[in-house]
Amino acid sequence: MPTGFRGKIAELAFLGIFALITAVAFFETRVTLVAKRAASGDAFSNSALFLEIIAGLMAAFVLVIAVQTLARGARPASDEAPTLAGRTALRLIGFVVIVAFYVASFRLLGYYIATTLTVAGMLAVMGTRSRLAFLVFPLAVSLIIGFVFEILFNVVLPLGFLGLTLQSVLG
Amino acid sequence: MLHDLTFLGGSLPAFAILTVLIGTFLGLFIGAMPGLGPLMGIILMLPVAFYMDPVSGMGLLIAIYVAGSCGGAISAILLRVPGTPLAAVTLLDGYPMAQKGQAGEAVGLAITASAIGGLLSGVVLVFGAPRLAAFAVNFSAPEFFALAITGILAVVVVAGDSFAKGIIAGLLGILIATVGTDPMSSVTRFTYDNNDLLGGIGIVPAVVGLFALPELANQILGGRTEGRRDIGKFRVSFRSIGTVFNDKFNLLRSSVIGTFLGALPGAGGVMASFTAYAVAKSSARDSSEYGHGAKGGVIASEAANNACCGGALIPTLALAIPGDAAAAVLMGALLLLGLQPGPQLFTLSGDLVEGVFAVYLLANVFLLVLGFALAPLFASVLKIQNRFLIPLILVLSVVGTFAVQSSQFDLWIMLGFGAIGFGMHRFGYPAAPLVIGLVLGPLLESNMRRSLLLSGGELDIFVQRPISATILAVNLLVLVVVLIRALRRKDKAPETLPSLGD
Repeated sequence: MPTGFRGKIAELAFLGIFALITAVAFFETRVTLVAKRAASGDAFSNSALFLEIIAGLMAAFVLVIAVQTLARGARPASDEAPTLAGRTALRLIGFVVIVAFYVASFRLLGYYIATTLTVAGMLAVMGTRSRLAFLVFPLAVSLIIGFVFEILFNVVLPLGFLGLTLQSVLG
Repeated sequence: MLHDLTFLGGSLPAFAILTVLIGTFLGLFIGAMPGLGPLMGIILMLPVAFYMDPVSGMGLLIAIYVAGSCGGAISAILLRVPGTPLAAVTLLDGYPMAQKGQAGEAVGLAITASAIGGLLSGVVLVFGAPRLAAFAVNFSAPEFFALAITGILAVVVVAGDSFAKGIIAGLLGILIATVGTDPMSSVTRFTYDNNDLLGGIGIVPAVVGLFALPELANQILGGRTEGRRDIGKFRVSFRSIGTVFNDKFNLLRSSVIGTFLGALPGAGGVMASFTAYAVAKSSARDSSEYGHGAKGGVIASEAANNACCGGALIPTLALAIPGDAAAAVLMGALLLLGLQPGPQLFTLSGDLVEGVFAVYLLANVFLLVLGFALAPLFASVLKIQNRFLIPLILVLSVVGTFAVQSSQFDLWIMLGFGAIGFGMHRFGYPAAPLVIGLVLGPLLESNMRRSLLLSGGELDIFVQRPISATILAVNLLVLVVVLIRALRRKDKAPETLPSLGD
């Protein structure tokens, strides 16, 4: 867990996400569902009833955690706590970028191209230097997993702009 | 060639036997890898199970659950690194045994005790779950509402160092479960004119995002991407089977502890293995051996943590109350396969329930066979570098999530849950209550609203019915005890409990 004063701020900022979600839930019950005429009546027709209770409880616990965090002293910095610094931080950023690329390009490039590029990118981010690994591993992963899903389970994987399937890849 | 197996008057399809075999292999593999575990295995294979018939799909997942709970012992014994938190106690005596040159015997003890513990809890599952379901068959909405609260509360209580953070995670799960079309009034909630959200948030993108992506990020953050692990050669000793049976009282007692704590929502395998170990040590003739290579220590912890699997399936199947995150995902799998866990499952789909019992028992038998035959192979798996494993798991996560509905939108949902899961992990929010909330949320809402419809909107329906009143009273008592303990702990040593929820 992050330590020190900055850690406390980060903790509160993360709690802010829960507060925001709670606010969105209240907006849904008080505005959207009211407009749909689904926020009143008996338990059958009142779609806001349960939501209102859960959002109310969430608001209460957001408050409890905020008070706990503010009342508590900053956590002392620990040597064991992993820190986001140097090469590790770069790797983490690289990982996030590659995952986002993979998700975004999955349909556009198609499963085989997107997967091969993603795995090669991940190997690079992980510090792999072996050319053989770069050549063989991404292709092997994409073909083996493609075989399992496409051939064994008949899943239609995204073909991409090239329209690639396992059968077309293997000729 | 595999043939259908006759069991409890029904027959187990040959394909289901094959999936149990594959699941056992995968479970041992995933369990042995430090950082992964049965939950990760179940999550990664959940989309695969979706393409199978219910018994075969559940066979695959249950076998991973069973074998993954044991696989962690291999790395615990050989490397002093528990592959899963479940094996944390096993290393106390398993690793010293390996240091004395008894690695093969220690692994053999772990596998045998796990399989026998699992089988003994299977007996309780086969005889106990139908009786519990028969008892619960007359439950109506108020009772199920109270039970759903128990399921969420129990996991929150033991899930982490902060009760409030556990509760808010559970509430978030319940809130997320309300996204989509209201099943009672057909009004849409939180959909924002997006057709992809009409059916709600799927369990697969949610759990893959919550558990798999943050785990990969944490592996990178912890710098665990390089370096080979040095594993010596060993052979599993068949003598260990005899050793386990000679320690039959310890085996039986630990299995009973494991089954009981497994069936108790929220307790789980880690608590079971610690408890069984403590009891075995306190009742041993020479307790000074414990911690220095006592065979009884390995037997106690492994029998208990695998017996937990059978125990956890009892409330999951009979009451639709999952005991932990892995059981919640298994329950999610049943829902994905079109089946509703709970008492009605036993009356409407008796064949399927018997099939689930059969695959559970079979998984424990396969665990014994594959464990002995292939333990050195699973040990060599530890040599695989994370730099290769991380991309592989990433691809499996993305393709698996996509495969369930062929939906690109699910991938974005997965990514969103990945970000939430990473933040939750980093700031000490347990993820298990969120999953339980997600799975139990619809049950909680529908039963609350049905109860209010029955009573004409009066809340006293929940306390007028004796069973629902009793369950709610127990929940309240647990809540009060937890709050008092939390306040006392605050004065003494804050935030020292390990997180069991994940």
